Amino acid sequence: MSVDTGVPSIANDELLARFIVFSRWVRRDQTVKPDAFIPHPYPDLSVTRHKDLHAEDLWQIGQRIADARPASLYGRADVTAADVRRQKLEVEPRPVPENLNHASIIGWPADKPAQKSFAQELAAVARYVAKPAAVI
Amino acid sequence: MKFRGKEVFVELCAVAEECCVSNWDGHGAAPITDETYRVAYRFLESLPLGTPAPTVGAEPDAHLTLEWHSSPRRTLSVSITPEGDLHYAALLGPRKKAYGTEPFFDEVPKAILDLIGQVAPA
Repeated sequence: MSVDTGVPSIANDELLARFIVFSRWVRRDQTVKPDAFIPHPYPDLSVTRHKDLHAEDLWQIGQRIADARPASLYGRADVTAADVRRQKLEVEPRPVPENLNHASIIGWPADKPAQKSFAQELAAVARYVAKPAAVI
Repeated sequence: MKFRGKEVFVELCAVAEECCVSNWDGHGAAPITDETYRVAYRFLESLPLGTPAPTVGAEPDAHLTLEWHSSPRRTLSVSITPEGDLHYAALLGPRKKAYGTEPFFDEVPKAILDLIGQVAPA
């Protein structure tokens, strides 16, 4: 059963970006560690929908996240909404003023080992995209 | 004989230093504490000689992580908490996985040593 919130749901083929501002979340082989997908503060994991965004706009959102730390933006880990749902998780639009494409991956189990297992599954299918040198 | 991988201790120190402030991940992460660092250090010291060295990371809920990784579906991650709990998860092929929690009392639990052996044979 779904609840009609008035916000269109996210299609299975939509790409979702998790921005990486901690270099050790990326392995030497340019894959992403599951650490990047641990929900915190529990129970939500913040992501940004690619939907209707040019690449530059997407990177600028990531840069704003990095600037808030402040830290370097290294790249992003992309997964599809279908990847999320395959783990029996759900992704919901949660627009905020500074990021209208903000969404949250929800439905995480409360216990940490199970969270890690889900995060490993997402990391295994995530595609890491390094930040282009031209992004300011 | 115990584990002597000097580089991983250096990496552990660097990660703990980098993540000792709030929001180190840009998404609201909690800081890694000295206690978590000390537990992780003791865990590494307790690994048997010949154990492949893990890489060190951190999670936004303030746990340090040690990872043994051969491929996306043959990988083990152990989260270390300040209380001495070891939360682990492993992918062991296309369909097999394992996860759970073991206490750490200055000896690496057999369940975790067995998983290291499956993921990253020495």
